[in-house]
Amino acid sequence: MGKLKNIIFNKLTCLLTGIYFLISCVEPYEINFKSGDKFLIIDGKIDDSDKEKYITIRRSVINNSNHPDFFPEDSAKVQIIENGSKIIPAANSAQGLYYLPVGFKVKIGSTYQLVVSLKNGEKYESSIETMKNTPEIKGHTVKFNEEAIKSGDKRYPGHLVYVDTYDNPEKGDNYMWTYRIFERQAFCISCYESIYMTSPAPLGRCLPVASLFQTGNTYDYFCSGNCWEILNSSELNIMSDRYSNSLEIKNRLIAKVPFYSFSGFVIEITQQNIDEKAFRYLKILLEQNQTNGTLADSPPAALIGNIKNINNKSEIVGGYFMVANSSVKSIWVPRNYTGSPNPIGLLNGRIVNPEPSAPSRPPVAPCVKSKTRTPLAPEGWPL
Amino acid sequence: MVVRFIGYKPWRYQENLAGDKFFEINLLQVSNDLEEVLVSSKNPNSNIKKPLLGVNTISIKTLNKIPSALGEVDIMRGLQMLPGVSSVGEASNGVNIRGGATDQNLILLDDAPIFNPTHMFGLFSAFPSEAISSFDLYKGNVPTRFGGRAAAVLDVNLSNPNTEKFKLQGGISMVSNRLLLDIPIIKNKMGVSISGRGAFNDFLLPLASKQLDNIKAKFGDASSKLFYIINPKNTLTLSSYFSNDYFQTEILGSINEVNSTNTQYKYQTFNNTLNWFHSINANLNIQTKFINSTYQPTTLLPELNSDNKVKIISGINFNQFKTNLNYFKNKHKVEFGLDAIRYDINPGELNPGTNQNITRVKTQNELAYETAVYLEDEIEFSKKLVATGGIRYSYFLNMGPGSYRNYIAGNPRDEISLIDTVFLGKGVVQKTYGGLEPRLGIRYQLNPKKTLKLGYNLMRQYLQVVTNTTTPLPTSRWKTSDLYIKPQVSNLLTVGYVQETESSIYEYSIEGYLRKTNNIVDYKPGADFLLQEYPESQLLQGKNNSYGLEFMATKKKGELTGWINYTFARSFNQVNEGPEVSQQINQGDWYAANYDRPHTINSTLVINQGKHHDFSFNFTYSTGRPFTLPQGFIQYQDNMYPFYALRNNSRIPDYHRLDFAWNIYNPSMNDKRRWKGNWTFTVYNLYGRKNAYSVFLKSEGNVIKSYKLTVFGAPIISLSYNFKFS
Repeated sequence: MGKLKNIIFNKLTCLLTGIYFLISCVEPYEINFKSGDKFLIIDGKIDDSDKEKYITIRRSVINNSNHPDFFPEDSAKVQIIENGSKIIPAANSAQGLYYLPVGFKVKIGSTYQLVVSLKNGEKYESSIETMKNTPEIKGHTVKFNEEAIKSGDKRYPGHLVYVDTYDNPEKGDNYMWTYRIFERQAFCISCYESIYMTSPAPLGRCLPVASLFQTGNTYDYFCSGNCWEILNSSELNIMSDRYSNSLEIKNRLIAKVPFYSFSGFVIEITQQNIDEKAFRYLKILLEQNQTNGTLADSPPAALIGNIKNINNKSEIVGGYFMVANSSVKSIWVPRNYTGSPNPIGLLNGRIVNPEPSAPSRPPVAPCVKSKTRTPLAPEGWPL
Repeated sequence: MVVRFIGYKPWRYQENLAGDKFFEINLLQVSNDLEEVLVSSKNPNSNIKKPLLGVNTISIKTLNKIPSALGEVDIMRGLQMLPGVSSVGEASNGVNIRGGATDQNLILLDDAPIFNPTHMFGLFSAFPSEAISSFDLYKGNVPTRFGGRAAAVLDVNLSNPNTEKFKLQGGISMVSNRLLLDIPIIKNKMGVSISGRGAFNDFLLPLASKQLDNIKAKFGDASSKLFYIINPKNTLTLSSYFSNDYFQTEILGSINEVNSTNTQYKYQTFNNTLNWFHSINANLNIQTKFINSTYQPTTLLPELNSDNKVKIISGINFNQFKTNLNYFKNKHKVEFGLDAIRYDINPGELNPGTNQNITRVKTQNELAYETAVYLEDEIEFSKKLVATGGIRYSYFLNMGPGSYRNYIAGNPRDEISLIDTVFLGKGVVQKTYGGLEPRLGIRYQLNPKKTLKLGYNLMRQYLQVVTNTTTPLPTSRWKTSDLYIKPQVSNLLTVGYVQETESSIYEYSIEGYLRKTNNIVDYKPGADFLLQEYPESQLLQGKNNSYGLEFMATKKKGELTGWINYTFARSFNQVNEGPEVSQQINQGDWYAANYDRPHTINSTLVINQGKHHDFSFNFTYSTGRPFTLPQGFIQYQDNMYPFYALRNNSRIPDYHRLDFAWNIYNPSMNDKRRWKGNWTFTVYNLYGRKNAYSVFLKSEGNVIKSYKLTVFGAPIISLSYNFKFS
């Protein structure tokens, strides 16, 4: 009787597992995009940082191979109007990029408007945006979770990072969070079917070797000094203060950091207070790209930014002119964990494969500063 | 041995033939047999005779025979085997009837409205199949006693209790357990029937896999009906229905503005109908009904490091008084009635519980009245010509207390065009709407087996779901018409032809319809109705044009019964409130509605194998529903995003599915036993097609990836046991 009970129980369990798995079955699906008309994208973000600031003007069209082509719109007249009177011109370099003067920073409480005149005479204006003050990040919580990251039916361990902040007293604040993760990187170059040579200095190069052809082999080379991998957030994270005006915003989930290694990492979190319209624009981006794939999605809708053709209000203009200031906090996370998680490494899941030792080989490679790598210790890294 | 002859029921017999034997066999004529499967009517030939067009039903007996998902007998899925009834997919929270949205259907259970007709987000019908005696779907002509929705009426009736003998029936399936009790209280005077159903098997999920420990899904419903024959002229009926759902899943999204670990949904319906029937004389009777219906959905948001759950509560309290005077004399069937509804809607309330960092928010309750007076007469001009003519006048009042905003005329309704906000006191009328709703049905019988029909309907809808999701969430907001949200008005013209064969075994029909609806509701990009005080700033109104042709062939008697139908149907919307992009959808051009499926074929077959078992099959095919392909791509912060401009410019793959059921009745073959058990073995999606529920794109860094979401992507095998004790 007990055996029969067990069999029935197991069958029932399997069936229910099947049912609930099937309910959330998501799989890749090939789509052939239709070639469409070119449409204009005017995009730019100005803030109070020291970074260079620019506006991009391009036209986007889907080509026949399902990829977008971006055609730059050069020779346009681009200006920022500060507080309704002061004109700040942007200079066209090339590729549809219009740089604002070096040293230009937005100021809290000031208003900004983008005005663009294309060479065909069409004139575009953004709505008037106000620079708002961003509160500081007050606290944070880090939790290890064995199933922190979900990808399809698979679960991966990782650390969940939450922050706390205090909302400004005024109503209508909208926050956006981005982050950068700094992980210690031991390998500075990987050579596919080739070996690393230190010349030409200073970067060296990967030299193809006949014996490695068609082996699919990749060799990894140690860094010559300190090096950190920078992993940028790719997900939108926004929230309005609708239900927390003047109160503490507690336990906002900012990042799910994969278990790259057993060592700790630094997470640099940027908190920005963005305009109501920008928030709505990003919310649509979020709903159409990040939180979709549910049983009750909102049908994708035209992404209406804050830039309009002043002579043709029904023209759809992609992109957004955003004004924001930032509050930045770097947090050292010592990577505590439970259980026995397997680190996924920093080589996109590939197992490290150093070149076998030989006289004067393998050489070491320099850490080259880029958007995704730095030889400089990030703020907060323990000395 | 099987003996067959055309026009007669087959005869089956099992015998060990040890030598010569003589058999005398009397075959029963099929035309004398009782109808096994009735798709269109309750009475033989009534599709030919009745003047109403587009009235469908499936007998509960048939519903019990045809395959169902996971062994749950389901009215809503059964309906989708009929022409003109479709949905956006397997997990849709309602059905679309002849180009109408899900909220354009009035769904009644013993006259009380059901605001959410499904359990577990569309997977199962909310109706307790055991307790249902019949249902009618009015998708063409709608009698004047019904109003308040623009597309169709589904009128479901609970069984009357047996006042003579006790009956017990129930069942166990992989999803739920069911029980129905019929209890006579005073013999031949008073009886009560009580039914209950519960699905609580989700506790097994974490035992099966740790990955399922985040999924919770429970539901239950109960109904009761008390029937009292006061005297030969008066009866009293009290019907009640309660349903409760609770689920937690990641596939329904979350609330962005409240920091929580996950999202849980809970919703309850509690309905009561008191019906007093009084027979004045043989030709005149009056029915008076008091109806109360409450629907309360709640979103629960558990917090990190806390036992507290933030709650978002909303609700509808619906009260109705209805009285009908019915008069039958000579060639007239007259119905006259009065109807008054009070809507008290709580659009939303944020209750932070013990969390002091979330503001308590309460949106103003909506109070509205919908009243109607109606008169209808079915006149038999001759044996050939019968007409039903009716007129309904409905009047709607949106009442204070509350507030409304004034905006600059012609501009998008938003903060920029806001002029002022006006506050209204209690009892002050904010806005009224009203109008006539003519209904007409004509039947012209060409001969006793052939009929031509014509129908026209005008219906007004003052209450709608405002949600910008593909199918409404159980927590979606219901909104009455107000100063800015005009009532939806639908005009439906239908023509049809019905023919029956001489033997009454086969019936063929063709119906064509054209529907034009004004003031349909659609949404601005990024619309958000959660706790929204002024929803008019989030929505747009426009027009819908729908048309279609429905062909149906039914075999009503014999060893093989069932039907096959083909529907060609289109449904298009146009929304163009002004010149600005935010006032238009699809740049003001017509676009296919989310549920537009041009071609649909449905077939249901039951192979009767005597009284102890039968086989049945469902096959359904439909064109994939529309979805939106991007017109281009944009880049933001080094990530690529699709850029959408034209709505519903492509389609997901076509849908098709075959289901199978094997019903075994009373396997002991002892018909004299009081306990009779039936087994049903079902395979839903027999050939395991991975039908797409939706196709969507995701931005993953600098690449865009496309995905398909499937609900039932493999054969779903189930076994259920049902029993009767009497």
